[in-house]
Amino acid sequence: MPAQDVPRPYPLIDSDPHAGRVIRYMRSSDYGVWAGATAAGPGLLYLYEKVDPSKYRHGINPALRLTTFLGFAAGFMLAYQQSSFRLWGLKENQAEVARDKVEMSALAKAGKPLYGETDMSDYLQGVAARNSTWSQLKLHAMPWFNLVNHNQHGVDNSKYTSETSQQSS
Amino acid sequence: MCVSMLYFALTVMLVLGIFSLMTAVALPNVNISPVLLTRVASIVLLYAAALSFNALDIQAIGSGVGIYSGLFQVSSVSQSIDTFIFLVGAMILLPWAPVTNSVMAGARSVFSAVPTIAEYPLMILFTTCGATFLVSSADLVSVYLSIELQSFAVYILATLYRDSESATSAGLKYFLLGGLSSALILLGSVLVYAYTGLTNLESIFTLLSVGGVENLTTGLGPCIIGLTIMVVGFLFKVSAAPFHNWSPDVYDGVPTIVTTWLAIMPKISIFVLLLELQSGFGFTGASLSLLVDGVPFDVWKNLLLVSSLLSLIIGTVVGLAQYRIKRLFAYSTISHVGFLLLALAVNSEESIESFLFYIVQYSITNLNAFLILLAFGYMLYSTVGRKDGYGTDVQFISDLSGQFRANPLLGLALTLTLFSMAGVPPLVGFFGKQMVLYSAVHSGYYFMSLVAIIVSVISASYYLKIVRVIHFDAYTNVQDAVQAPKMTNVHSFAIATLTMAITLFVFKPSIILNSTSLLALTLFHY
Repeated sequence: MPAQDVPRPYPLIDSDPHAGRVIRYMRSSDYGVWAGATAAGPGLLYLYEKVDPSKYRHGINPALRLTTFLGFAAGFMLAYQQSSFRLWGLKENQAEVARDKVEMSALAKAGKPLYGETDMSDYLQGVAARNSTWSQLKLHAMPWFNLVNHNQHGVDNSKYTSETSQQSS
Repeated sequence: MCVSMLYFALTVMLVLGIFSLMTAVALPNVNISPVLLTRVASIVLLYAAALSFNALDIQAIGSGVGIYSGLFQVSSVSQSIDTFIFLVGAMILLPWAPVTNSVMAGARSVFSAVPTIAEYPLMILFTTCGATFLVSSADLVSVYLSIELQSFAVYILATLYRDSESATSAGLKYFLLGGLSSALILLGSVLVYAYTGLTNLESIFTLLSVGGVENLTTGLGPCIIGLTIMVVGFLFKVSAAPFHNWSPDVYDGVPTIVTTWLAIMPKISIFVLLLELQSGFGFTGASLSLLVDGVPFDVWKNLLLVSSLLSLIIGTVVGLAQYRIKRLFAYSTISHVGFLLLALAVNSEESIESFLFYIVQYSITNLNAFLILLAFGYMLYSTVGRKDGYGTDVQFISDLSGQFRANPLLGLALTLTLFSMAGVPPLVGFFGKQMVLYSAVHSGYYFMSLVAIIVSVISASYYLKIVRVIHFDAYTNVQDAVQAPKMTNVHSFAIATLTMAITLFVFKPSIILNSTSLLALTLFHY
């Protein structure tokens, strides 16, 4: 079953990108968001403590460390969402489109599978794709990432191979 | 520390947290006090709000996209409501008394003044997890599991203060009647599945769109019964009349800090689910109709209208006789549920816009009312505790007598909030009622509109009763004035912000009105 299609203002790169690809395609601004979110939580907790002291005998350091960790996780997911939106073609993605063309064409030229090796059947690849497609929209509730090399990415792979064949001819 | 970090990190990843909960609560030496854990949970909800808000401006999901193999559906409405739920949830975690030596020393007698139970924020995260999944549910299985996840956590929340006999009693009642309503939802789901072989809601709606049902016992007739029973279960959970009897007892019995959560959060998600079910019918052209003598009889709409009528009347009339303030708020809620159900039943673009706006305005107004009630409780009882064993909670309307003289700003804030609930212009509550009534009249529901206007006027009298007690009754000083602690700065800031939002909404209404209008449009023009 193909993934649900939606109107996209920018070219689609990958409808269900592998987690590794999402991370690799992160921009500097995404890392900035990640860092900001990591700092925001402990900053807020510290401010809270200054405004209304909790007067706990062990202090707030353990809670600060915990909040930093949580902020790190939340920042990662925010950056992950941003990168995914660009790969989906829902946000400006000129740089990603160019990078995708170069990387995929190189893989096609080398005769390697575009979306990684897998020993799963087509059916199981479909199951994996249906489970993880669009899951980035619900990261606030459940961290569900695509960790499977499946073959359902919503793009016509021939555009990579045809470009390769044109170059070779 | 590492283990505690892991435990909380897993809790933030809401679903995985379920598996870590039981081991986590058994861990010794978690060097984070319940006060700090509550604050951390509040920050977690803010992070979750940021994540859901980040995906809100993706216009492509307006009509909804299926996730997790179609068990859930993410749409603009679900993302917006998720953000709203997280923000309101984060605010509900704020209102605690300042941590002072005297409060900590009297922790038993003033048990709900400061967080003393580490599981409290955990339960909050669990129930929020259920709520966020519920608003996205697109399958009978996910609907039931989400509603149970939400409900189980609030049952535990209600009984969390084990030293309180009233809380235990109220929690047990909540559990038993909540279990009954869950059983109704399950029974309805089973009937639908048995006669359609489907659990996916969109597929069920598509099947129902084939044609009208002439007989309840043949064909898709039992499916109509099943969906009706399900809706009754949901009405039970939102305490709509005539399924409301549990709510005054439960609201009154549990500590106010828990009542604040129970009165606001579970209702938002269930109402939005009802909205999405109704929209699902609209998308597919299906209707929950029976052909009675060849004339279609819309079961869904009439069920909502009857429940709305009863909620409006019972919430108002019975509310008049209340002298316990949380019972009065419970009946006030039932009355407002009547308005919400009316807006839902009318089912036009205007009414759905008013429905979403009413949810937002009523949630923040109700939240402010409870924040102020908690503040009054801390002002009055946080060093001495109540003699009747109710901790620091304001129990009777008369407890607030003359409080305007002792705490003029709080008294004024509560007055404005109550005026908003009564629908006095130019406060935000007025616009909520006006929008619902306008859409109802516009769609020809004259009788219901008339009833709603009359009960709104009558209900103003019980709000004014509280205002009279605060402003004009004799002031009795319960607490030693020298030792009287102040409320926390964050609590004070939250009340100030909400009161200003309620009061000054009229000057900048476009943010909320445009948002609700756009969300309503996405439900009708996909």
